[in-house]
Amino acid sequence: MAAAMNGMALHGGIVPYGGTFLVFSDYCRPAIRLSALMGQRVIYVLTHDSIGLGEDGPTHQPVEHLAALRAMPNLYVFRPADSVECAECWELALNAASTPSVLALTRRACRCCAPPIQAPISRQGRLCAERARGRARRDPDRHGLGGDARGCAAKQLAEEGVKAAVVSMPCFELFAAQGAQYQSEVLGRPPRRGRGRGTLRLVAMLGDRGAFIGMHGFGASAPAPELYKHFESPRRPWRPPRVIS
Amino acid sequence: MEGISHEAVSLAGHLKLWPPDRAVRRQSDFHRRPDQPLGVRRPARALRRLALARGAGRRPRPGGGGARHREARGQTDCPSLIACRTSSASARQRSRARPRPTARRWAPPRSRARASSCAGVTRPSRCRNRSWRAGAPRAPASRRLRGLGAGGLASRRRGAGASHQPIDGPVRTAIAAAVDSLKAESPARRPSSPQGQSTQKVLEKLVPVVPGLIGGSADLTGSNGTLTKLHTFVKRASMRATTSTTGCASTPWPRP
Repeated sequence: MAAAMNGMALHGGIVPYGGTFLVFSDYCRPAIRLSALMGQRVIYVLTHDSIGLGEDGPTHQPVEHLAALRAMPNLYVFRPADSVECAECWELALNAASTPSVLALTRRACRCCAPPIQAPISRQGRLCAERARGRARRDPDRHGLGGDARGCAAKQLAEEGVKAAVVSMPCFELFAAQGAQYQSEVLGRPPRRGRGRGTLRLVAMLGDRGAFIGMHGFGASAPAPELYKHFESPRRPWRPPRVIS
Repeated sequence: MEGISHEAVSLAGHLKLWPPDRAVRRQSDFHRRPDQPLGVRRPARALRRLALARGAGRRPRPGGGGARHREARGQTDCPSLIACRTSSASARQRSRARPRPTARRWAPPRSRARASSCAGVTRPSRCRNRSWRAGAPRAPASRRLRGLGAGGLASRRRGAGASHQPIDGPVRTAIAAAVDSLKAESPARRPSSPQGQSTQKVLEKLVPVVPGLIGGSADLTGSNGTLTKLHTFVKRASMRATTSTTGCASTPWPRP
């Protein structure tokens, strides 16, 4: 399928898109690499990005795939957090004439974390929690990175008296293309805590004093609530980190 | 070009997208520099294997490459797959090669007039390919090395230097308008929705405004959020309409 999309894009006049599970991106990887190498506008819609697949088990649960895709040059990997970001990422993917795009989507329901903003800000990374609450925090104690971090983490941190700014960063590649001042403005000072499944660039953004919350191993086969309970998912009450420095 | 793989050729054969006399050339550009003359090896074994495996062409008879090429071009209803390996020509071939009238390097043509000015650059005379003989204009080497680029094959088929862009200014504006409308109605309509449904809503908004946006899924299309009610089957006529000289933006895909 991915190779056929490459051929259709090379034919010209067509913007092909195709969907499959994110875990099966391993099978599409040679063709994805070729589309990145050739600079073709091909859109890969890779869904079920979650261990919440449940009974399908670890063979269908992506863990390292997002990081592997983000390690590929000339490839935009979008991981939108809500429907607004999903629409913005589609627009960015369509306007990328010489870069293929991957839209990594989850099957879970996602709440809209911010009111719609006219300017497409997915390419820059944004402070969801700050904009949603209409206040700015210059000196946040914790930062969250990644699409899954924003919802429950910010709420639970606020209940526990921890000042937090939650950053949803749909595309690391586009954020890395921004200026250093903007990046430091968004990310703030460390310590930061990142959540997600891509660890390569995420660790670089977290810094020496940062921490990563996410899957460090393979998933398991069980109903989704039990899996989240087993792996201490963000749906469970979040506790402040014990060791930061 | 490995990007156009067997799957694409199989799909083209299944949909009968190519005209009957159109031959699909699959070649590798390894071990070649742009300033070297070209020679083409005709691997009979690979040609026979690919033709039998994909059913895309008639089984070639043993014989010379010219006869095999003519046989492939003479197919009635199926696209033919000719596997060639482009390699550097030998020293003997280079010595017999026709001297080039000018030492000017090829540059991407900006217009038809500019493209005609490159007609003096010819292919080597030892090449047995019929289409490369008789001083035919040499295909742009830089474009071949870059993998044809966006719309390269379509523009070469039309013979014009202008590349065919499926998303131009008006389409880009329409995309922005569609996304803005989605962003305006998303939080009000459903504050919590699975992302599969989100991307499906996006596609239902974008497919009418982007004529060349076409896709689906290998399976579980609804679960992957790539199922839209606006797509129809791709046929040869729609493919020809899209790649015609009038351009994609002015010839929308047939909708049900």
